[in-house]
Amino acid sequence: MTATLAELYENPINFTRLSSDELFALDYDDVAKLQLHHFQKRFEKLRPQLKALDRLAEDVDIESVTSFDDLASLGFPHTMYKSYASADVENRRYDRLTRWLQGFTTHNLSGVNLEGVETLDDWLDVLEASTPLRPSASSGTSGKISLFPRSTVEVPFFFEHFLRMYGPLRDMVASGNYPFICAYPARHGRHSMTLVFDLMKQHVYGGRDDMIITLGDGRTGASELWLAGKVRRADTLGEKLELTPREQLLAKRLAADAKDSAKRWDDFIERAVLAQKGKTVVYNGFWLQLFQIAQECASRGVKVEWAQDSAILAGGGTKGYTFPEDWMDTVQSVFPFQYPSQFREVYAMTETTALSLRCDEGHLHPLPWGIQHVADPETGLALPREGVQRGRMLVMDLLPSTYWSGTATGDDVTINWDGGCDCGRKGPYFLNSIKRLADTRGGDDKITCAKTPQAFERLEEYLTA
Amino acid sequence: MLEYTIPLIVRGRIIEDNLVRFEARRGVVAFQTPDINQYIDEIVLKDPSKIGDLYDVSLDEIVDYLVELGPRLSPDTNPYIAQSLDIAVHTSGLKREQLYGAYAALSSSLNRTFLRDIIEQNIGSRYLEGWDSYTLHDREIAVRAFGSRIVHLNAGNSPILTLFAVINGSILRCDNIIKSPSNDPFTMFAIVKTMIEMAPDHPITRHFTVGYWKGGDVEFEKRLYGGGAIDKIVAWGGMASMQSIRGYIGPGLDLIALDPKISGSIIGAEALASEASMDEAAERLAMDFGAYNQEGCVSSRVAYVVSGTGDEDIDRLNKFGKKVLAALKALPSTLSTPHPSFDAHLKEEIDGIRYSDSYRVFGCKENEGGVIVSQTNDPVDFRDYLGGRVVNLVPLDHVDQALDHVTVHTQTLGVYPASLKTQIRDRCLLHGAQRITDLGCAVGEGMANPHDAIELLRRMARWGVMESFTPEVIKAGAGFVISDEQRDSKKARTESSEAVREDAAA
Repeated sequence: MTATLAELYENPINFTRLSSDELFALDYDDVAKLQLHHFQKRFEKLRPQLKALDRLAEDVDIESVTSFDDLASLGFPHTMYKSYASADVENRRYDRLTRWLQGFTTHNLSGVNLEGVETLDDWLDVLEASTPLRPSASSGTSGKISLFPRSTVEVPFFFEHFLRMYGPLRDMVASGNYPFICAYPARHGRHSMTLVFDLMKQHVYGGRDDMIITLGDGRTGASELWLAGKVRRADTLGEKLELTPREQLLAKRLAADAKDSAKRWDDFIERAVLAQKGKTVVYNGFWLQLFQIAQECASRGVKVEWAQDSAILAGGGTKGYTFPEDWMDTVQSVFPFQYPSQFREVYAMTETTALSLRCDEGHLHPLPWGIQHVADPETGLALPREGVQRGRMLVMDLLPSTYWSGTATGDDVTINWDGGCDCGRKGPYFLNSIKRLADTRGGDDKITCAKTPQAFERLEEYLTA
Repeated sequence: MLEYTIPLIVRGRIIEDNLVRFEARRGVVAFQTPDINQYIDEIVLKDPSKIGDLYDVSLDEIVDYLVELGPRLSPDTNPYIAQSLDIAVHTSGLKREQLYGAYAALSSSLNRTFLRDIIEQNIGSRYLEGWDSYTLHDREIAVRAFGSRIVHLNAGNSPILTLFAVINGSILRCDNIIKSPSNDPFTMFAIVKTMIEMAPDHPITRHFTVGYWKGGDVEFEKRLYGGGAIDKIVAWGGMASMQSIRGYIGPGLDLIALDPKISGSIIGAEALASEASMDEAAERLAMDFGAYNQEGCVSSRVAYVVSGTGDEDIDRLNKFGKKVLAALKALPSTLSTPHPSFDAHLKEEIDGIRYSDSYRVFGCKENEGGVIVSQTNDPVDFRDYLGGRVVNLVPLDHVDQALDHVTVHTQTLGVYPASLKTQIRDRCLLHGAQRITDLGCAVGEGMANPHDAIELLRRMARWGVMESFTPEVIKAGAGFVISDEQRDSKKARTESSEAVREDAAA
């Protein structure tokens, strides 16, 4: 399972044939050459096929890619995946939404039959049934949902990137011998996390549902995410909330689920903690979920006594949630695992499968099948690819071929281009201090009489609350 | 980093010891100021009767004091005000040209006519200068408005907002404790320092305290608000600070909340009827969102236009959008400039929709501001973030559709044409809006009127009542004076109910 430089030059998919150790042993000068080559090829091939990319390239006046710095101009803002009009969803103008989505994918959506399509999920179901598109949905702070144009071509890469989060434990996770535990509030749906559950069931557990233990067993589809956003938006803006009859039913169901929260946690702790005592498990979740589990266990006087060789993954930053100062003590008092050595940590995002893995030195090493770059948050211009630089994270995933993966993220990162981490991995690395630009640039203690987006921050995620 | 020292002023005393360092906004300015925790006992006025010295000063004398202060606040001659301006260049969302105008307005606002209008319209001198007497059905009433021990949590988006504390706090005869905001940490200090130089022993000067602490400093705020030595808090804006303040409110402490607000525009079909009307409306809309760089709660952010929503209608709206951008660019730099610190998050949002068929974006390439024209009846989802001179035009088929977006968070609505104001004002107010004005005049809000749906001066006062009764009323029972007829009918009721009881017993 390896690939030569020539094979990597020929097709970036060959990167996935290398183990993570092999990837990090590649000479970084070679990696940079390969990355630039595929950046150039991808742009040439996709520009004529994607309206959104063509418009952007025309606007920034770029005919061909000449350096990594072009990514500063050619990165789609991460907000682009929600640039449709909300009114088109409310008015069920799925023809217009289809046209919008067509701007992002090379798959031909013109033959999709929209007859009888009422909800967002109906629409996505029809798209999936008649095209290779497999969009994932996520909710944002503004209440609109983002739709990411992944397709069957990229789903295997997405799954591989998920397994690689476990670093050297990848094969153990993929063996199917150990149950998968995640305190996510839904089991099915269109969020990337629920997509992982389906892929694990299908490719790792041979169809066995019982090997996947989640907090909720319901569904978080696009319609649920949309409704949550709508309720939240009405709440913060004080505007009138009008629900369709189907949304009213959905709202009742969600409200009923929320009421059963205590019972859901009882049940989860029974299945995921007590029943797994002494057993090896695979755990996945954000720090927030790990902290929630710790709190729920602490309040029941329960400790998480999984076997010491369990694979435990955490990450995701703090997601806008304010942790109490002693939160890590709470986690450590319930989970008898040492931080950092027994916790795998990653820096990952929807827009790229080239995730970064935390090493024992505390640095985050990005997989080389994606480009990383940093831009000045003020000017948007690329910063030099040398020394230590801090700015807006730009990414470009080399694996996808049906959508443009160049992205200007909202993350504030610090990268060491010179590399030379004591862990021995080659290439540049990030410091484990990733924040959201929106959080770091707002300033604090400013008082104005004008209403500001702080209003959004007081509301917790509607579904996970 | 520019470093400054900002003293603490406690009732005429200037303190420069026990300095602690804070960073103002945008990471350019830092300042040292005395640790307020060390002075808490001096800052609060435990004995409320100590406001009494202010009652040796007549209202005319108070007005004289403020009128004399006015010219001394000129940025041309007052070094403290000049320094406030220098600092604000680095902390505010305005550039020097606009800030100069705002600081110059401090001086010119403190004139006799302006102050008299505020006094008479917002509370009435008869309640400030003595007991105002009148007769009610069974008594004589005398009413007087008293000052209170008040904490002002000032907003910092314009230096002119400091005048609310200076004017209201003086004419009401309050003991004033003012917290400077981090986005304007110096102006209030400069004003009070000028008061000390002008009249060091004047009772008004002796009732102004100004300092800085970080909003949400729980330890200090608990001591400040929890000791029973503060009657009222006037709190401006800031969602986070509003929420932290609410945690301290209990019986005896009144919160006057000037909640964060947003404003908008409602533009009738008449605006798009001719080239000339389009130009006029575009210029006036540009004033409402462009002036003072859209920093105020009065600044328009979304303009609802009764353009129609057909393809040709939208083409016309796009044309109007281009005119609005041209009018924005034509605003003089004393009123409006590209924003010195354009919100990066807003830029991300705008870049996200730039190539979408659902919106047209004119301008907004860098920090120059611009116009987003929704191509359907749908404001952008990030309308709460609009700032830095960016307006969203939303097409409507009927003006009533605009009312769905008017809420309790809506402060000002600039309306075109003028005749539309009376047509929609009641409905706008019922939806929660607070001020309806002519398009183009949104930022010119006066001070002699209700603000944020309340009468601020009346809320800041502690209202006292004295009653006098005649001996007859006292004998009959105050508040129980009823006519003979009523007395008879009461007697009749008693008799009839007794009859019922007798019947039941039989």
